[in-house]
Amino acid sequence: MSFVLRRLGFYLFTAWAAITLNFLIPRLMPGDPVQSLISRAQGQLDTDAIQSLYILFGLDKEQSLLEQYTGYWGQLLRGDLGLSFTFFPTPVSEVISDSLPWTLALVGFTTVTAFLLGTGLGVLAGWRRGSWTDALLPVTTFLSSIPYFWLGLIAIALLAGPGGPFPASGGFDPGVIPSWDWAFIGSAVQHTLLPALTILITSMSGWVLSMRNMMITVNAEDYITVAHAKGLPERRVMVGYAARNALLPNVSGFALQLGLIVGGTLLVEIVFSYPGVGYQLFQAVGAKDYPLLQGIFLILTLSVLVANLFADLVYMLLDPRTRREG
Amino acid sequence: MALPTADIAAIAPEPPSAVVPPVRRRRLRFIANRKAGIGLVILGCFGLLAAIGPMIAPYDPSARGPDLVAPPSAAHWLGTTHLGQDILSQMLVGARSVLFVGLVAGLVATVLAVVIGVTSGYLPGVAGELLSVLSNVVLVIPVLLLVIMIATIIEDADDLTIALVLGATTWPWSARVLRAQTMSLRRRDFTEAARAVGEPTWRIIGFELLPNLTAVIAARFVDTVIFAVLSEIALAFIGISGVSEWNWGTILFWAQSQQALAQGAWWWFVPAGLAIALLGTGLALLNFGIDEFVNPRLRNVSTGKVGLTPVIPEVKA
Amino acid sequence: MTVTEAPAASGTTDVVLDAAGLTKHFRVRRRVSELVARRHRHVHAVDDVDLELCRGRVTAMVGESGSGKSTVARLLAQLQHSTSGVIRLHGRPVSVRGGRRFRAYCRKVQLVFQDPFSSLNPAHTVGYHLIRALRIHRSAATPGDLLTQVQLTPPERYLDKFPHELSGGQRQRVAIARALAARPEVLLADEPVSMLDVSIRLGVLNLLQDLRNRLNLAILYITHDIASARYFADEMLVMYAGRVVEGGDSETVTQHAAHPYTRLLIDSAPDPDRIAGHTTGPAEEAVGEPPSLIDPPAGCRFHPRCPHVLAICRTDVPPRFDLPDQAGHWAACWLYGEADRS
Repeated sequence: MSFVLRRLGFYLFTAWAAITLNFLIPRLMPGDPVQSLISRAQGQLDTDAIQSLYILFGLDKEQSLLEQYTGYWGQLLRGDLGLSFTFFPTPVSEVISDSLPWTLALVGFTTVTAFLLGTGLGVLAGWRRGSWTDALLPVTTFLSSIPYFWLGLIAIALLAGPGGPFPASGGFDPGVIPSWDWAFIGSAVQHTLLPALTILITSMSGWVLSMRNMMITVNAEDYITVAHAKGLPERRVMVGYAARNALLPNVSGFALQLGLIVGGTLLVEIVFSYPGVGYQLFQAVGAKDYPLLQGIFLILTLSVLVANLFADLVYMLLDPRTRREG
Repeated sequence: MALPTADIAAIAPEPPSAVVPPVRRRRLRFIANRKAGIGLVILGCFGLLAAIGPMIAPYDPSARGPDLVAPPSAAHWLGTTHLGQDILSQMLVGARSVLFVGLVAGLVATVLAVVIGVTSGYLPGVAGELLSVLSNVVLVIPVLLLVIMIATIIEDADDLTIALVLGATTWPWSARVLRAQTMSLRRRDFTEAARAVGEPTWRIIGFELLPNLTAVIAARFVDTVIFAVLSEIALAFIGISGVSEWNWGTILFWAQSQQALAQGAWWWFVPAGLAIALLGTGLALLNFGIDEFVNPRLRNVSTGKVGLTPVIPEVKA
Repeated sequence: MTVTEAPAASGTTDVVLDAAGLTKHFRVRRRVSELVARRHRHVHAVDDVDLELCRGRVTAMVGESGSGKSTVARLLAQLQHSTSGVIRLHGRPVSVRGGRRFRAYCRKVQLVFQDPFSSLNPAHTVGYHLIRALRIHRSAATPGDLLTQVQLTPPERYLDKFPHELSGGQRQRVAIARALAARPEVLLADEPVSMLDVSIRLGVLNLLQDLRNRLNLAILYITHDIASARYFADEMLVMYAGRVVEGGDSETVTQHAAHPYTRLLIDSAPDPDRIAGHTTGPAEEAVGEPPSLIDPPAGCRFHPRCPHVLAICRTDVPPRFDLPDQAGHWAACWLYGEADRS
């Protein structure tokens, strides 16, 4: 139990650090692009909007840093992340909440599948050492060095566009209206397949490699020999004894890699013009939409923290030693 | 008791100068390892390109030309862009920027990781724990997002700034690894023996612990370089302004924004991606070589026999 | 007696290092319930140990794993600090934390570790280890001299070798050579031969004996093997669960063991005579394991296992009682309480 508490405490502290970082970074900005943008849009902004932007970016020089900080927290807790410049006057929170489900669907699906498939292949590769599976290694190394988004470009060139089986961009067909019916979902799935596939291919190889290495190490342990000697069927030893133990470092590694996975997915979205948070980020960078940029950073970081906590819980369930220690 | 009191040395003398078969010091064995060798060759080629690239490039990469989006030909080995710029020249000039950022970021991150990781592993008690918490906090925050935000806000970031920012955000993973290794080394007898002989603390860290950590540090450095290269390319691809004129990510950025795919201009984006993948593979092979060099000979020291749940999850992504 | 030659020609057995009431308790990480109740738990590793190390004499400290012998060595070497008690070098109390004073101390008192495989840094050559030791202690000797002293000849052959290129016995000799670089007066040998092959042990022990004679060293020989202690040492101390339970001249302690634990130790050593059926006396029977040092038993720590336990043993810690058979032979056991009083 104390394990859970300790991890929770850690994540809360990190969340606080991320939020504070978010608060500090714009205040380190040289120059004042936000101010100029505000003055340009003066007529269209009501005082509330201006006030919230002031608080977000610390433009009110009258206030002390501490007052700004408390004001910032107050605003956050009310769910106000400011107004987006590019989608003016839509509030940032609305922009993000529109695009977040798409990203979550893509990331969630691909990450879990890549992990499961990669781990499974890794188990086989590590178990049958010295056979054809060893030749996989250079291939997987090369594949994992390819940037996600480049593979996406290639995939689009080869498989998509007019005449190809996959759609080239977007989240769904232009004529379909978003709603919870089969036409929409079918179209959405069709558009998600190609991006998902590209992410899958590159990230899977990482898992295969690491799982293979762990399986080889675990294989050398004495309890595997005992299991064989007991006469257990090979499949049972491989899964129940070796894989079960070799899995643990991968699970903890998975949690730590979540940040990287998010980064990679964002790039894929850009390539495919997939209407997720990554695409919004791309547009925000191009337009120097600082409120949107900040908002995305905050939301994504917090999501990663939540996912990490979840992964820690899974680890605790898998490894009985953590439970007893706690 | 059965033990006779006479001096048994006369009966069973131990020959102290027993001959130990001379071990041929194969210091170059590392190079002889095939994977490392191939990796080094690949890196050497890229290094050469980075060094002489701008000099041998046939055209100025920014110079516009008459042939727009032309496929590879004798005049333009890798074709041209939408402005008639020679892609080969862009690749050659870009190599320097890519390697520069990668190496500098790797260096900064590794130095930070060594200082923070080894110190936190060696110091007992609260100080070590605090440094560890610091590493973990920075570790969990998604790096790419942070770098994007910082790079956007610091307008006109040049190569050096990008490299420094990358270095300052990617050290935690290595710091964690080094902390774990230092902690296990600290418990070994030779550290206590060095203390018992009277070595001062700074010498213990610098001359007793660090030599045993070199392999881990090298592997972490290579990993960080890989990550920095990929991140830098990604940043350029997104269009973070100010990244030096030409690097492979910028090429891809223009390819993407000019709809190279729709035009069927495969020569625009294929070379850049292949080059990245090749560089990454070379670095990864180097890492494999380092691993295999370390494990058999120094099995008892730096990595040891990896137990059930190793302290450092060896995730090779 | 085990020694074939008399101790140093100086004849005096002056005390170099002695300890009185040496105690070391390690704090145990608190559980949440204890944090709230503000209680601390300790591992009572060493409790109230007295010993004296004299020039030209070998004192053995015998006990099983976990009895606290290695902790005593670390305390005497000032690598750890005692919870209470005093350590005196040449009669003057010492307590050094680090820096120059520590270096001055370890010039006199050196420690040889148990595991030759890990007490040498695998990244450095033999020559490096010795040169560093010589330089720190500003000795004019050369590494070759040190290697010759430990009978690793010709020295040139060994200077460039890495530890993994040497055998266990050779490594331990290098470790001893490194300790000698400081020209110490006291050598604390923490189970120096336990991890060596049996056939090699004698050679290293003889080396230590030779050094004792030539350099007039005071040696503390820590071991779990009572047989080698009898062979090698002049004086013996028996430790159990952090306390010293018996002491005296090593021949007397082994031939006429007084404390029930010592008798148990001696009888546990494989004895061909006993196996063949020629027992000299009823073997002591005691069952059980050493106690947990976090919550040691009250009174005499051996009482849960002792076949001769008295009521008083469960409550009071027995003091040292001198035994009548030999001067200097004593046992901390209530069985001898009456005998002493008379």
